[in-house]
Amino acid sequence: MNMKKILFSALTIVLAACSLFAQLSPAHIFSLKAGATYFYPSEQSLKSIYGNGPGWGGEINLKIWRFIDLWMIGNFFDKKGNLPYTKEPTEISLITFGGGVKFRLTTDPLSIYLGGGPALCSYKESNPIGVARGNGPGFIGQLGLYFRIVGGLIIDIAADYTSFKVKPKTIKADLGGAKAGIRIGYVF
Amino acid sequence: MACVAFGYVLMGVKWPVGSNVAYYVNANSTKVTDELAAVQSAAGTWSSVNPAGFRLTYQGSTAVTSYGRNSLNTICWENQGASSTLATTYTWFWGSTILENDIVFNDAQSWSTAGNDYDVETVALHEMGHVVGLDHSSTGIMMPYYEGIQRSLDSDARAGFIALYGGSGGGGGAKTDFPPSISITSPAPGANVSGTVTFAATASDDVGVDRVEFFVNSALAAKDPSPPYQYAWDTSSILNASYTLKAVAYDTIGQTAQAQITVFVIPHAPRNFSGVKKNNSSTLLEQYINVLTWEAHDKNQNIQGYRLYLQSGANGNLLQEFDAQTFTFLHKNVDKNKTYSYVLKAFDGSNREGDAAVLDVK
Repeated sequence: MNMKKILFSALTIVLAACSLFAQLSPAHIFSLKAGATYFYPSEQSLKSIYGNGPGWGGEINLKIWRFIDLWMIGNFFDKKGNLPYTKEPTEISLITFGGGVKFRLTTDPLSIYLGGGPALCSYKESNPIGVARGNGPGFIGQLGLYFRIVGGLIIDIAADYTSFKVKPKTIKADLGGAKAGIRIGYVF
Repeated sequence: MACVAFGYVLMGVKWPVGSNVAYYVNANSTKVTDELAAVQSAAGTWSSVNPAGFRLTYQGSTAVTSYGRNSLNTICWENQGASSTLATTYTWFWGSTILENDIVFNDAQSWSTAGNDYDVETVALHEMGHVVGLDHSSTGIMMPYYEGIQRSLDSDARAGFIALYGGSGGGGGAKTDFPPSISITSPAPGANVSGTVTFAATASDDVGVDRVEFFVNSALAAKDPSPPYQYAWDTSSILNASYTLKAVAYDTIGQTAQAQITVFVIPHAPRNFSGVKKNNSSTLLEQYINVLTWEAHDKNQNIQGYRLYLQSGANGNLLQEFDAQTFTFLHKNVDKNKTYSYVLKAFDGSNREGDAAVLDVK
């Protein structure tokens, strides 16, 4: 719930920035994006117990040289399900942070990009069996494009792929998967 | 003591007329193996004189190994050393009424039931004469010395008995066909039984036993014309309840004797006790569950619930108790690689546990 508030606040800031800098011609040096994602888990048990589902996220990009951006991203996914036999309630929360280098081609008003880098997943699963929580390293890759609507205001469509192989107790699982996202943002 | 003209001697104490004296036997002789039958035969001989006046009825086995006042009439073998004593009868009485008799055979002596050494039945017949209330006399079975096998009553002993308890044929009179005697040897009175139960009796008669009939709740279940008199009573398809078992012995002229006990058929094992191991793991937390199910037995009544035991080695530990409407149990957090052995029993309103249903879940 707190994460949702944070993302909503970030979105508000982006919109405010858009209105403020709407008349400026962007140089694509710095950008902010926030929006919704839809998560398709890789792990079979994650899919069967919780299924696919929506999440939230945002990212920051900073141009460092010609077509190269530095990039940081965060996503939040939380879903409830039922244990496979007893049908008792269970819940999982995944917060992922990643970043790295992104290669971007811009032919205004359209930009396409491809990036990747290390990532970290903070997870928590709780149910009558117990609680599993921890952090697991992994990687993230992203492919997307954005279209500048007016001024610095953009609409962005991206697909992410993550992988986080963790083993908090006896079960080894990959908490990553594919995400499709649509975001709005602002470029400066 | 009171001496009479017939050659018997009375001890001056006796059982009340009409007594049916129960006795228990510890067949613990180290010298013979069939001493119980010999003792029962001797008891039957005394009982046949006038069963209405006095009789001895075998009530089952006992663990006692010596005499002692415990309100039970017991017979056992005890090593009393190499003395000349073959057996001793101990009598407790109040006024002229006998309260208890114990007979102890000296196990140091050489006993036999086959005609050599000291004959168990002969000595038992003598000692039971004391139980009846006869003292030593100068003739017959009540002589204080062993003079060979004598497995029937002489006229003096019979006359002494009749003097104490009534009857006919005393004083060495004409031969009379006396009624048979019978006692139930299995199951024990008040026993909890299940499955196929051996319903057995011993019967004796001075002339011969024609047959023994076995009754369950007054219904004739079986007849057995020859010893060992027994009937395999199948309780697996009858209601768990109290049952009256009666055995009736008939002699060759139709005279009867009967013995009766009450037993309880315990609850039957639950039906279709089955189980399977299930994976109930979430994405990150592992859990395996043994899912156990069972059904009520249609011949069970007054079931209060079920008890589930988990076998560990030779022992079973109570895992869970259920009410009578519960027919499933999830044994959570089991080891996925381990085999679990379960025992399930129904119990009734008297907290009487029934037969076990056994199950292994791998």
